[in-house]
Amino acid sequence: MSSLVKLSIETALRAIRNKEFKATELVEAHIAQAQNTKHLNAYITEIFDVALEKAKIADENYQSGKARKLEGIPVGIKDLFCTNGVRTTAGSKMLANFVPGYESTVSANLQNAGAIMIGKTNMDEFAMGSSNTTSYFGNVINPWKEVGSNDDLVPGGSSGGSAAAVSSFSAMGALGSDTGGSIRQPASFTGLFGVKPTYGRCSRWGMIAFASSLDQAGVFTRNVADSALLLEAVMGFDEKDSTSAKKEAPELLSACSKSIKGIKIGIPYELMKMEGISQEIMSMWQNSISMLKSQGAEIVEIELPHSKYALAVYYVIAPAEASSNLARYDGVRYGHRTEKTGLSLDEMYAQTRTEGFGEEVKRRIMLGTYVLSSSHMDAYYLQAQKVRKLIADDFKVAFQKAQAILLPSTPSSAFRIGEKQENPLTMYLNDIFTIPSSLAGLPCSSVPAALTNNGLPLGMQIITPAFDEYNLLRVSSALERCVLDINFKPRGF
Amino acid sequence: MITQEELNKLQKLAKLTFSQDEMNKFSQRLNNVLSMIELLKEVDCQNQQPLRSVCDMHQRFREDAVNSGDNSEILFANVPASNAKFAKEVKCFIVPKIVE
Repeated sequence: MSSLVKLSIETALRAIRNKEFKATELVEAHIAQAQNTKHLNAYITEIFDVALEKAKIADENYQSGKARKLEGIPVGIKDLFCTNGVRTTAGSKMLANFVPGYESTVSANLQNAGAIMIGKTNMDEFAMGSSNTTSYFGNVINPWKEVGSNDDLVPGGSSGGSAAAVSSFSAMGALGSDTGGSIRQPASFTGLFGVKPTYGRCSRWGMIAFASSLDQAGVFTRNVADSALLLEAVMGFDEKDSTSAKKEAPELLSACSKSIKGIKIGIPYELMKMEGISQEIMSMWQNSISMLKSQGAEIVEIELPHSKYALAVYYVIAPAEASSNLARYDGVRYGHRTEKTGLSLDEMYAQTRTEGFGEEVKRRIMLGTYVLSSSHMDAYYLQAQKVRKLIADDFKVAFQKAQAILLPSTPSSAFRIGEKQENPLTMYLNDIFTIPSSLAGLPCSSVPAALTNNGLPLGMQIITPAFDEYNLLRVSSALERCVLDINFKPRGF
Repeated sequence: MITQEELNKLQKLAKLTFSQDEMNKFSQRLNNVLSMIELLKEVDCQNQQPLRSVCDMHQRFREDAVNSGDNSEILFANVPASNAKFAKEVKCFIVPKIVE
């Protein structure tokens, strides 16, 4: 493995500018690493030739002094983002041959800043899953293994391919999307930093919709400062997305070296009593509190009394929005279409959708259709939107006392492929800590903060008020500085 | 509990089809999730407003301006294979016959 793949984005950019190596060498090293780690199945579509062409242009731009902010940095892009002329599948048979004729705003922003896409990363089908096992293109394998075991573990989901690519060093960073935890949970499972900014910060234009009021793009990197660089490039107002926030995107890099002295960090102590949190997660939580305290933060108690309903709210709202969003896949204009002939229009729709969607997607469409059906709408959908408001209001009250909230990202470390598959409820519990902030649209991150006794990474989650990504990265960096002595690289890498 | 009759109605609404076997497996899983969702009913929401906007946003308006021209080539680029050639030729999406 080339030593170039181990660099941080910041260091690589500086080195290319100082002519220590070329962008082409950097991209070549990452392509070689992607080939060496192919068994992880992190990419659905690889575009190495295109990447190499772009790397040559990057070298020319450095030569002529026209280098952009992320010129020559190889990245992975979750296969949920439409990429012009490059197949975009959302991990589904339904879109297995779909080649968009336009580019999503966030992937365009990233590439306009000079980043080079080397491939489209694997994901749970239509972003529905927490283990990356629902992808039509096969599951992704986590580069991490437990000490003394060779069993394959899940990378988390739904952005599992992005997480596996960055943690196995085939990309310096990757775009992901987070609906109920799809960046933070895989970041936690793979020892990466993952961040989802405020709902409205990143345009959703060209991002294949799962649950529109929750979906938000974000990034994975191996350290906080690198995410600051990527986020600065991808965030920003977009005319083409009606929920895009018309606000100036903040400068973030300076947040990564700013002291947290005097900053108030809220701890929802009542959540510590929740059943099913492992001792390892508890001790990471308590250690993180003491470490942030030692950096000068003030710890305050906050309450999030309605958080216990978050999972139930999510499993009404997300499937409801999904059933509506996925109604567009009818086999007429694009996507899979059944080859059976002699069917009526209605039969053609049903046959196409039955063939094109996987089991988990169908289950969620049915659930969404049920909660939106006229006889159940008030009892489920409307009630869920009311409880969602209570959850969002809890955060507003908490943020009157604290500037950031600290809690674990996941209730456990990465699990074995196939585990938790039979009962969807145990799978859904993975998102128990990440869902409340998603429902409230808040910016949040997962910072690698501890290793389990079996040597697997665990992440702590930081949440800040809407549009305060600056303090999000500031507190994340402070925690990162406290755990510099822990090796968050998978064994063998 | 969701009934067999309701499931039949749902699959029609959702434009999906399931075999009896799939349906049995599926109804049990769906009922598991529904029983978890039942938890919501214990929250007193009598005077509670539903959440209408995620980050207190307001609807944005824009001028109704024309900003793109003929992009039929892009629109027809992904027509499912069996119909692709004819659809592109006549610039129409092809569906099964709907009028007798």
